[in-house]
Amino acid sequence: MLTRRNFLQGIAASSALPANASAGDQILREIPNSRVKIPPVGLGSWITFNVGNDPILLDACADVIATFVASGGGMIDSSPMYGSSQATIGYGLNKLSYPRSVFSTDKVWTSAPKNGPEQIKESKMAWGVERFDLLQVHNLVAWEEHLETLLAMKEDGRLAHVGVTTSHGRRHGLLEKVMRDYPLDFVQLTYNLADRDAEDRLLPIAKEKGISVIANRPFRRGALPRALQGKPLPAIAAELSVRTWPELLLKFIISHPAVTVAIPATTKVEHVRENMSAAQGPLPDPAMRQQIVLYFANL
Amino acid sequence: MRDWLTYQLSDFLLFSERVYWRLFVLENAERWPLALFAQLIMVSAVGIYFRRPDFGLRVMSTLLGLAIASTSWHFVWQRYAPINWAIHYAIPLFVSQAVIFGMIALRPLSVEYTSQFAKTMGFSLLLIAIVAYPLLAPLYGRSIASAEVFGIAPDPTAVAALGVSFLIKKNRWYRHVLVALSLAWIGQSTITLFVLDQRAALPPAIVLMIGLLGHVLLAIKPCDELR
Repeated sequence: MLTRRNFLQGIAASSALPANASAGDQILREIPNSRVKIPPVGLGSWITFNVGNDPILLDACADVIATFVASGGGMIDSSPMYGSSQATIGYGLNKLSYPRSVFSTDKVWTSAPKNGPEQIKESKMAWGVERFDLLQVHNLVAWEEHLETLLAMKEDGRLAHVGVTTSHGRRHGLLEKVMRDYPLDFVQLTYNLADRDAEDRLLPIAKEKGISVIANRPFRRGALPRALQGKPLPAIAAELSVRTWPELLLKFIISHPAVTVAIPATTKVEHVRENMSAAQGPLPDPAMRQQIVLYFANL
Repeated sequence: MRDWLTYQLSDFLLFSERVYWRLFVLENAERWPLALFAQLIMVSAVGIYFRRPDFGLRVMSTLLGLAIASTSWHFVWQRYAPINWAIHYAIPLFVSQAVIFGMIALRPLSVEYTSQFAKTMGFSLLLIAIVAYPLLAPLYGRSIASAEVFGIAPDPTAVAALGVSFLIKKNRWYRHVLVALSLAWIGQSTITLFVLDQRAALPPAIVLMIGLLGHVLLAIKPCDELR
């Protein structure tokens, strides 16, 4: 992550390789187009970081970010659509003196393409960074024009990676077309144990085209862990060193060969630790994945 | 079009219930004495109204104009808008209301008598705004620090505005505008609270129903000029 501070110091900070990348058994995923490596569990900010100017809640979010970074976390994802979330991330990162391990991920979201560059500028100011590691066209809004802007920024070296996003399984047809026709680095879509439409076409295309995949709504905004609370874990959980449903849900997502990173959002430090533990230890193989799917379907 | 049908109300909500109620905790802590004055002046204005309706209405309108302007700037713009960008679009609604109440406060009034039914409606809503709304926080198990208070929080201020609107003669155009603007705000609050916590939406939903029914009944009631 390139910040004002290290930009001024002349540090070229384009890689998001965490400081502890080679330590322990932390899994890392390589972005095919840039060879940058990032951990497979990131941090979302939808709703959770939209706390306005509440000093107590801002500090609580900063603690979440600090724990995420300390646990070897990389990607933090936000959007201009998410209220004050970008500013909250900026607040948290500032408290940590902008750790270089963070893979700054944001979006452009305006139906007026001419406002895109100004919005990106405002997003950078909110984060306190000079350059994003990844910018995506949010929900494919005015995607053609925004993609043109983002690809031009990448060409000029003002942006490291370019992507597009969708969620809730919407607009998969258009997403497929964009994935086929444009040189994307990333695509963000909804993928979890209960929403697996992407497995049919989008994930295979991503794999084929070398596009990294961000899985959003890994817990369906908390609904999946709530629904599974109190239900026994499948027997293979022990083989995977998994103790909780959120860990298993995340391991299922990031074990898909096309998925690069899942981005759960949370307001709780203990949940960050739990989520990050999914990025360590063994991941389910295809047979285990099938068992998890069947077990979940029969619950 | 098919995509739009897949959206739920919760997809449009950007913040959590916890963050929403914290707005009131912070706002009350910062502005508490002001709210006390606003409540006292409103109660006094109601007393004045019973002796001199024209002057009482002007005092209430002055207070409401100031309360709405203050609430919209301090709470809605500075505190609520950072977590809900869509609420920026409601600011013209508040400005219009504040200007109209200011106009009522300043213009030389002939006595704005209205029907007994309208007065009952108006004072009932004022009672809800000033007495009932602050009690909702403990009633719903929240800290009294997060109470919604007239003059600070937009919902009770809108309910009070709705109540005073009913005290304005029914053939005045601005009465209809004021009622519509108040109901619009209370309506959006009802939806927001319904998505956050269904139970919390009940009070604004009741006010919304009272306001709508009252306005319709008063519009069709032929003897509005009865004192």
